[in-house]
Amino acid sequence: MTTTTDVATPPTGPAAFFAALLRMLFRKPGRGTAFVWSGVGLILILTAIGPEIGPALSGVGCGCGWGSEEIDRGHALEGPSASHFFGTDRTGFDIFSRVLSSPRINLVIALVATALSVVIGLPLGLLAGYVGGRTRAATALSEVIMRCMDVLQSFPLFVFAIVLVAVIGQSAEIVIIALTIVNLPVFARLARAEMLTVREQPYADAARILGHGNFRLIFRHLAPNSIASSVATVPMVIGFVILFTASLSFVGAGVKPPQAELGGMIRVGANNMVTGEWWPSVFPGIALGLFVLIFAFAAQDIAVRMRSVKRAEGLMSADTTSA
Amino acid sequence: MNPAASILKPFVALFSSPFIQRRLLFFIPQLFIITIITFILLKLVPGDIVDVLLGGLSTEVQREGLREDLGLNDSVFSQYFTYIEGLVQGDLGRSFFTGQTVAEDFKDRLPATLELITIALGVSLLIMIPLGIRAGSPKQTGWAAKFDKGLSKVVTFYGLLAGSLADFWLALILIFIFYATANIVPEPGGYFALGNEPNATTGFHLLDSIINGDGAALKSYLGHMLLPVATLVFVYGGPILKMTITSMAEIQNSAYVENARGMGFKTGTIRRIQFRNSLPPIITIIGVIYGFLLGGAVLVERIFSLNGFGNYGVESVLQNDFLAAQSFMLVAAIWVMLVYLVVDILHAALDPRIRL
Amino acid sequence: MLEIKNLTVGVPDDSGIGFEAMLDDISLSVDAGQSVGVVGEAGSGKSLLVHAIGGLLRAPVVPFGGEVLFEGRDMISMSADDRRLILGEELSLVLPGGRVRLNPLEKVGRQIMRVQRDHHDELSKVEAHQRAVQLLDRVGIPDPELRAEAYPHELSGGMAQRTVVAMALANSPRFLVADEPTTGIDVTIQRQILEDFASLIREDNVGLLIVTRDLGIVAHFCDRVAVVSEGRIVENAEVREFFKEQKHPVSRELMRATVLEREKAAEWSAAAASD
Repeated sequence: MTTTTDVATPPTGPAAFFAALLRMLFRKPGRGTAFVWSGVGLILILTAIGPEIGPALSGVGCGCGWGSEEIDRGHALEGPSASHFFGTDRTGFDIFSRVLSSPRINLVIALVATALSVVIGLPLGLLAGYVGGRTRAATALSEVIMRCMDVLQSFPLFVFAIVLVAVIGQSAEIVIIALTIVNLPVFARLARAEMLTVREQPYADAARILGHGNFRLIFRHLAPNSIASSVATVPMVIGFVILFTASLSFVGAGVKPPQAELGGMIRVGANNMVTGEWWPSVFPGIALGLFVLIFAFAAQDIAVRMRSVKRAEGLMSADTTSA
Repeated sequence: MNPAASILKPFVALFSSPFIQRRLLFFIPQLFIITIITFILLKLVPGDIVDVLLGGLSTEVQREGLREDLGLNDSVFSQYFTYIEGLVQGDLGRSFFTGQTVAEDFKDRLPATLELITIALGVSLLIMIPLGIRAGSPKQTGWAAKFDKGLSKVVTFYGLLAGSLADFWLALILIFIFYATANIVPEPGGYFALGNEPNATTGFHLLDSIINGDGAALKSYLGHMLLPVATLVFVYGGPILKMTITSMAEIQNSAYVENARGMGFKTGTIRRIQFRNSLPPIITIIGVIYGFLLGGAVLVERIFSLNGFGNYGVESVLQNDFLAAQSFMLVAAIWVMLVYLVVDILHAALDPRIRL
Repeated sequence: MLEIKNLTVGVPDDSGIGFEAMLDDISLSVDAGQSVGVVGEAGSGKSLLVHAIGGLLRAPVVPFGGEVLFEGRDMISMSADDRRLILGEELSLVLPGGRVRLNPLEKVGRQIMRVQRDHHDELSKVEAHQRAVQLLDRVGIPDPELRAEAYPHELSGGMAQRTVVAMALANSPRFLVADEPTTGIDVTIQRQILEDFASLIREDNVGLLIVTRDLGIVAHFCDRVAVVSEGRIVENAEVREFFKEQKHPVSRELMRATVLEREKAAEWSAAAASD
């Protein structure tokens, strides 16, 4: 045995994987990243306590606080002022307070829907990627899974969500279901693609030779290494779901007032735009854009970190040609 | 080789590829699955359809009569077959809201929406692709380099924005700026100002105004389309731009482009190679967007009061106009499948490796 | 013919004034009809030298000093337009990698034609095609007319590499810079290509600069050898002298590694023969 091939030694097993994950997350914070992640943190805080602090914060200027569903009679459709930082809409709601409360709905829906998509779609993708090509029956199974994903994806998202709402009824839960179904194929595809590369790695062969013929055992080694691209996509999907929820509400098929949801707020204020009262729609829209943007940045940041980690720990398919 | 053969040859090569054949083969079953899903969805509606259709007060005789008419007493399978039979004959049901058959409703609305999204897509391509080409292969030296650096910053910023902005919100902002404040555009509402509609020869408004030589209609149409198209281009052109840049940059760093430079190829040649090799992912994303927009333009349609296809679908859903909603979903899904099929054919035409 | 004078190439460091050198004060010359081998460990910078000659350095790597004179003209400082007239026409590069150097979307024959027609506007498609087939034949590809219509993924690795060589030879260049032209190829084809180069050198007075890790190639086909280590030339000698005695420790290491390989090879073939 004179030749020694450089076999990449990636983290194996869930414990090692999470260690690597944590290491990646806390690696060299750049200048922009602090910004992004504090943005995420702020959104999470608002999700937790937004509706509660609304009254307190909105009253800073005048000593009068407004809850997100409180109506200020007689002061409907007024522009931004000391007593209403973002003005009021045509019903009399304080927009500032509602904007602060909106993350709770938008984000909870987004988080749950994304989590469900991952929990269902990822294993399916891993399965399809691992068994495909081994035996006839297994390949057939893998093909069937992926074709189902194709069909799911060929239904235009919006149409699909709307129809689900029509069929089952309008509520936050339905929105979650619709969005879960719609994002499933995304994670399934990513997981499958990565699994296809990972299973050809030398360390996979090594594990097999060592007697890890047990599927479950291989899942403990291969699976943790196949989820990188999916993890990187999560924040992007969250951002997309937030936007989608708002779109549904705007159309009237999502969350309804008086619940404070950004899309619904924009809907309520839409007609006022034409007549020049811009604040009921503009502020929620800006907030919406900011939330999605922050998650987009977060996704970018994770992607960059993942790439540097993969390179350092040789997780990418080994490019064995030397310089 | 005679001219006819030389024109046919690439097509023959294309369609004799196993990949394309497999793809076409899958098309029919996929169509069927879509019909099955749309069929099932209707069956999932809770409560009795008959009650909803007839309204509150109705006799049992009426109800039974309607049930017989709708075939609800037959088995699920025969109901499905009746459904398919109807589809093949072009029967898409009848809308309670409009009173017409759904097919007629589609005839009224589909062409206009198709036109809108095609125009929007066309404009996006005209703007985003050259922009992306330029930004994706920046000049390294010289005065052009400074311009490219600035361009790259602007483009990156735009890319992030385009993915985060809600299209309906942007539409509102545009209306506010260009109509409410500056009054440059006509009042948003419909495709034309009242009385300016051309004869509906084809149903495609732009074409109709041109065919009929109706200058006033053309002007009115373009004026009304300005903001909707601008909104769509801004929001949905973003991903196209991003993909063009990414793809071009990746190809620019490829081994064969480097080799081409080392072999002294002309700059024009290299640029052509770069572009052609960058195309596949760009085509994919264009297809995804185009397929999505038929139903997805609904938000923009609603804001500008354009009586479009997506709007029809959403309305029928909100009004519980079941048959209309069902057919809407069917047509939307078929459209997406057609677009994806064309995308795959284009891929095979471009890349010989795929044809295997 | 090719004179490299004090070439320094590197990456600017954080201060903005200084730089980290990747090629340091390289000086080397190759005459017409001469073949010089450049050897060194992986990462020593020998490929970078080839890139520098061809103007293929990619940011942030930049030339910081020195010249590369081809028949008196400096390849480093000339404009891209001027350089492209020389590359592929008077001085050709053969870059490593084989198939990845070919455009996957275009037929192989067209690519060879392109090298010709981008340098000679007056060539007709028919003429270029004929020559392309000739070139494929010359580099030892069987059924050249058929192969010319093939796409790169339809060729074997060896055929693809030979196609790249064909592209380089298309316009009968006077100088060749070859970077690992034979790594990863069948030994018999290796020999074929190298002998083709050798005959070009002998008969057409072509100059050759060949970068390789294989001292065997240097021994058989080169007149001089330059040893590169960490961006510097540590030894530059006539081949006969070099193989008699190496002056620099790095050169000696290289020799030892090569000799070890050959000894092993001899040992194994002896073992196999005795079974």
